Amino acid sequence: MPNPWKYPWALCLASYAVGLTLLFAWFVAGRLRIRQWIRSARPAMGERVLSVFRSALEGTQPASHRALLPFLSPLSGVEVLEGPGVPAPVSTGILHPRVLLPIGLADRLSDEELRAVALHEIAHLRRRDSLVLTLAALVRAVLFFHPLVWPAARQISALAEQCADDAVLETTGQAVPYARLLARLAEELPHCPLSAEMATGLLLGKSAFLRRVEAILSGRRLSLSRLALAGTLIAVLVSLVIALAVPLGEKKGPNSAPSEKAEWGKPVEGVQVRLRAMKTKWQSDERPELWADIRNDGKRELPVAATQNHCDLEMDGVWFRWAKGKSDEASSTLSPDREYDSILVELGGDWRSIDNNEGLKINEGKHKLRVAFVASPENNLTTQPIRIISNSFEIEIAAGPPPSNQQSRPVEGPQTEPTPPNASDSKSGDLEKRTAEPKDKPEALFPEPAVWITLFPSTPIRSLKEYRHTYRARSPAPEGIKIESCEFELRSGDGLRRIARFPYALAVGGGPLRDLLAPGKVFKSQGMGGSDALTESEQRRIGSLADGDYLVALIVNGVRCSNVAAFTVDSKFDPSREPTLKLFSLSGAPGAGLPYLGIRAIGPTPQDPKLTNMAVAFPEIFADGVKRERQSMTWVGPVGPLQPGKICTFILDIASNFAPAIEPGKAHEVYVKVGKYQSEPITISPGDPLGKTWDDKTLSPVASPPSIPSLRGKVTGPDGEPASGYDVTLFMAPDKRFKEQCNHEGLYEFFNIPSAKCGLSCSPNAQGRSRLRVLELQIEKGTTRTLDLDMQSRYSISGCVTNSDGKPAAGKDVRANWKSLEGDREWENAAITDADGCYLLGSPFPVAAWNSGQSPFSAAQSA
Amino acid sequence: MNAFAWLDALDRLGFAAMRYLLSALWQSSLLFVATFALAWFLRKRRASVRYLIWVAALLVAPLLPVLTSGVRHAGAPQAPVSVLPT
Repeated sequence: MPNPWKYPWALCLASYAVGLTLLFAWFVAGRLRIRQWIRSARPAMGERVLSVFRSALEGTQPASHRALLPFLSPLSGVEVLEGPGVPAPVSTGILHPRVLLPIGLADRLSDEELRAVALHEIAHLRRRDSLVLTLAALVRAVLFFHPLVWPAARQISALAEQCADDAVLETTGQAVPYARLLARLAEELPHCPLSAEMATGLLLGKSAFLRRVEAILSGRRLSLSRLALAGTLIAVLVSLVIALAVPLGEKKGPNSAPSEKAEWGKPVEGVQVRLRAMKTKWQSDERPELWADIRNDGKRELPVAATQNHCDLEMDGVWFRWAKGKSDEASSTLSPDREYDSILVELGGDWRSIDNNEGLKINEGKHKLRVAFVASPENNLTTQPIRIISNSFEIEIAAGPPPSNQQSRPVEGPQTEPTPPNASDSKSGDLEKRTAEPKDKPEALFPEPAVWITLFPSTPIRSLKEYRHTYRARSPAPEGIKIESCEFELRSGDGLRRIARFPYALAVGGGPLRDLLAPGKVFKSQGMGGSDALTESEQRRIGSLADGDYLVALIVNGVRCSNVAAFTVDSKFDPSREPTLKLFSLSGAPGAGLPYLGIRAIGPTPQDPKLTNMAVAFPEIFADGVKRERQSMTWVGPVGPLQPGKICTFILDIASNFAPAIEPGKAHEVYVKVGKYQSEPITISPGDPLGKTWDDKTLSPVASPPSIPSLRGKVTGPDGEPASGYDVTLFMAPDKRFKEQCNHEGLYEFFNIPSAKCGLSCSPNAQGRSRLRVLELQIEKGTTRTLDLDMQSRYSISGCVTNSDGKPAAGKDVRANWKSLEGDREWENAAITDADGCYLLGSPFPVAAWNSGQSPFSAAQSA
Repeated sequence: MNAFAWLDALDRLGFAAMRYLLSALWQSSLLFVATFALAWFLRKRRASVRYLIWVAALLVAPLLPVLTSGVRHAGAPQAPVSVLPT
């Protein structure tokens, strides 16, 4: 059960929603009350009343209204109603103006008094007070917590009444009789529900009437009472104090005192980091303390672990990383326009250099410092963690009494243990080089010697409809890469079948990648491989894949330019039964010598709240039974988000970031630990499932050698045209069959078929009623056999079918099996008899022999 | 989406809403103080003049954070977003 007190803003929102609901309910109740008055009222029938209101409507419009409210249009169709329950004359209605009078009031008033009432209410209607006061009531409901909104709204109501009174006095010029009228109305005024006042904004209480009387007689203007004014001023002061004391979006740290001036670092996606300190000079016996601030002026929410345990520290060009305590802390969301400030960065503790795992040592003199934080966009799996580097901040360590035996002064923290040399740590060096030059774009976290597309599958899946992959494409070539063609290749896991290779639309943001793959750009996208470019037959074939392992890759300009991503179609796959942690491997970057390591994790559940993004992103890795200490971490794919209860994939490059290093070019047994979880070990091998297509020396792509098909041919359909889309199936054993599809020229090809005797069939598609079978076919591995299939109807047999009563048998299914003269092929065809019971069956063979001596007709007797 | 995710989303929404409302609170407080002062100086003018001033102040009050946010961001350096939306 979640603790609601950990979500203070949610509680505030809930409280506000309750207050808002009550205020709106009050408002609606008032509107319903007025509607009830209108429903129970009847039009004023007396000629006297109507003539008074008519004359008031046609009377002179006050000069003040003409000057100040020129937009007011002359009223028309004002309805005058009399009804029980109406406490005092009221004007209401925005589209349909109405004046409500208490029943019998007109009889009790003289003509002059009635005229004054009419002038007052007509003035309200002319001024559209009903609309304005309704808007004011709504604003008061929205800002109900504001202590000044209530007197402001009441002031507007009072001024509206005063304006209407002024209109009456300007027309009649008789203040005393009008004041007497108001006093009399106040005297007769019954109790008015407060909700009606809330909804209309009109002041219907006795006190309001009497204040108006006083104002008219004294000539004073209406104003707030002294008490209200004093309360207002106090509320203003309290509001200002609250507003100024709690700057929103910032967590004030202990260093509210002015610190040394520091600029913000370069923004990455609008996120900036600033490193500062209270002072720049430190004594030799002091532990320097710095403060980091992170602000997000971008547009996305970026979870970031805002502690020094999760940041990198650079001192004098050497990058250090906090070696402990990462896995127990979760990221916080850094929303746009939000800022975390005063993140303590102490130059002590377990800082280890990324290069050689040495502890942090601070000598006397000046030092330049920077910090870097990693933020992981959480919106989807295509996003990449971004690394934001702060400004450079210089500190100076004053000369102190020199240590007796050393120049360097190690800061507090555990002693650095000697670590084995890591000769192949070139990638750490690359990372160091990159981070030394902050760029206004996400850090590249995968190597790319040329166009390199990284596919990230999510495996396993229950059907191909669920299959999605994401990719990143990058071209570091100075002139960019012009993409002439891009194909999506799908193979079965046993390597025997190349299921499909078809045009693929590399597209980002709606535009083709070929126009966008400019130098240095990184693009991301996701989707089913080439779904937009698939023909109907390709979609049909993809959709018919059975359970099993499959490999995918992208072929650009005839060269494979992506890793090989594996996925499994498992129709019985149930994510809820999956282990919390599972490993798999993907073919790695060219020349890496090791595959990528994929970690699939199920997000935190209420029982495991500590299984966070950071915990899985920084697992303990064991290779061949030896724990490999992490020196730096390179993620190839997206890092998270690890959403509760959902499976997420993290892809790591384990090529050279560990000590002892995981030796490339060899097979290793690997497992990982994350907290209390340990994965099952898997064996990773450097082999490339789709064959070597990268030159390990030059790290450049090598054109794939053309594959030699085992069987190829052309299929001609019954109409003599190329049999586009026809299925050609090879049968090697009852449970082993390979299927290919004819292209638009009717050509088909089978690759990597082992030597065997097999059968072949060709049919239009799964619904086809004709089928050509080749009974025996010898395939030799390494050679290409050509077999053209002719299904053209050169010969035919026709007839009519009659029922036993002699009448034509329409709609009957007529099937025939044919056998060629040579006896090596069979032809099967079927037709439906027409209304006359007639049928026509075509055959590519000149001679038909009834199969097995049976009648060719299975549905009816021959005519 | 489980209860934690809902609460987290609600907390974020609450933060945004409270930031807006509290901004409206202190900004409109200043506005109302100014309106009180202006209305006091115009106390001998027609009621309709003060009525218009008060109406304008009250209707603008809930929109003040939007207006001030627009002013605050106008001309501010905007970081380029180098990741294309997906």
